Amino acid sequence: MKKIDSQVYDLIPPQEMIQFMLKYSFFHKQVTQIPESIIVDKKIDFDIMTKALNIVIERNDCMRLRFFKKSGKIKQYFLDKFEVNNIPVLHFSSVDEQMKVLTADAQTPIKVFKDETFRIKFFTTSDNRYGIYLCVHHLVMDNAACLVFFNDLLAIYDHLKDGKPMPKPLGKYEDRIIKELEYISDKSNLEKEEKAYTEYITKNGDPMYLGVEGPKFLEAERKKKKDPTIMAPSLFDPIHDKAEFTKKALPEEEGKKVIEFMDKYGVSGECLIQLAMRLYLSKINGGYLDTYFITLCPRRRTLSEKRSGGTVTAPLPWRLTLKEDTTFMQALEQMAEIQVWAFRHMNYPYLEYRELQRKLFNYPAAAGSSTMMFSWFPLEENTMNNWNYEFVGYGIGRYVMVLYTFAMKDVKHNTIKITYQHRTKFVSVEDIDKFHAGTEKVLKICVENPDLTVKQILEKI
Amino acid sequence: MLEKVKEILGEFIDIDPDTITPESNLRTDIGLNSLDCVSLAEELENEYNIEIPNSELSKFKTIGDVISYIKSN
Repeated sequence: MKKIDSQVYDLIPPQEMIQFMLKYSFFHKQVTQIPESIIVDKKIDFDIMTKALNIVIERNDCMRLRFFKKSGKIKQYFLDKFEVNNIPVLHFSSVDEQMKVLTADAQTPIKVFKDETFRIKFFTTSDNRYGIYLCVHHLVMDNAACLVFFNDLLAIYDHLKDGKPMPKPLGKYEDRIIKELEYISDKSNLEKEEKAYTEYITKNGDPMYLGVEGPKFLEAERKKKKDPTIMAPSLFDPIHDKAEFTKKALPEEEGKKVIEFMDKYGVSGECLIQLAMRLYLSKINGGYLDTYFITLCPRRRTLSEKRSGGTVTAPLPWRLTLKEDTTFMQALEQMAEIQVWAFRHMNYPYLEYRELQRKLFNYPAAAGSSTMMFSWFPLEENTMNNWNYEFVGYGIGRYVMVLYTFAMKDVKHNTIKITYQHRTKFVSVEDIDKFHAGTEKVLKICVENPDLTVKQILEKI
Repeated sequence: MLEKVKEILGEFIDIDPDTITPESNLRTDIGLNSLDCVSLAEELENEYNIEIPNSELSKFKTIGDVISYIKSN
């Protein structure tokens, strides 16, 4: 093994979750990478952009991470220096070609134990725009870190090209690693959170799996095991992991109304979109009003943390139990309260929570009761250093969980985009088409009349 | 108390403290996201040795709402 002069660290809990995903993806290691592009109107000098990229790598320590295995565990350390040159510049003659080529790259596993942690490509589009494609291993960055990366890159480009001020220094991921390892080394922290989580997830009894595909899997499992009390079907399958990447967007007129609603009532996108999804989910699962998603929390509090790279995001359990006479507005307040609770307890490692839940509800190994993992990407007009941009995600072709949904503002078209990454063995494209259409319907009805009760909403959809 | 709130906010958000008033909306004027609001609440809880229930926190719209709650508790 090569000699490492830098400090070697264990993985922190958010990275351990990625390690867990890698462990149970036997054949397709691309499941833990994030491929995305930004496409901009502004002409890019790619030589200057390459110079800017190398400055970013100097500033953003997560891009200098390296990993190795020791006694079955992944360890990490930071390189002092690392430079990239000869970034491929691709010229696409159509959107189809662009999506085909970049998707093929997105589905090629990053060789994270052979000193590859990210790939970058520059490109031009068929409509004379300029693109930067990043495919990064999730051990190195989460989505918030990707946005930090793009923002910093464009700001440094502006400095090099047009003499604009250099952006402020970034925070250090190494500092975050040290802080997180200190937190989990104090067992009293974990004991306190275990108590809080136990109370949270047991107060309304066992959560029940509600599928975007309806109740078929739960019913099938109950029939197969001759046990009508089963609440969580076994949907974990490390072999049949083929996944589709189904992109949807609200019609622009509807999306505009949803954004206006968010602004008017101070409601977050993640609460509003999730609530609409949960209501439709209840409708197609026999009117059951107790819904349970895992929601990703960026866990970046201070300015330094917001301006740093690395993977710190954590999935947190959001369980919402509604009553028929609750209005949509009241349900939104309940969602906001759940969000607050989750944020107050966001440091409890997800894998600890997962094990706790299995122990409390006596789940078999492959069972789970969460409908989906949900994430809201906080994209705004000024996210990319005030450049006009379009954000494009790419499907990785395989996935470890049944459904991962992420939603965001489409700043170019002033609407909401929702993307579903779903294992087609369990959730088909047709299931997603119906689920999305139902969610859109709920949003339309409730944005127009947020005083409708849950009962009224379910009757209308 | 407004000055203390401004000082705490400076840890989470890049904003000119002179622009913050009791009428400032947490989201639209100051630019706080949901996690920022929780961070602010937790810092104030520690500073003033109070507890802000989650049900109250999610109702805060302005800096004034936050200060009023602290003063009355």
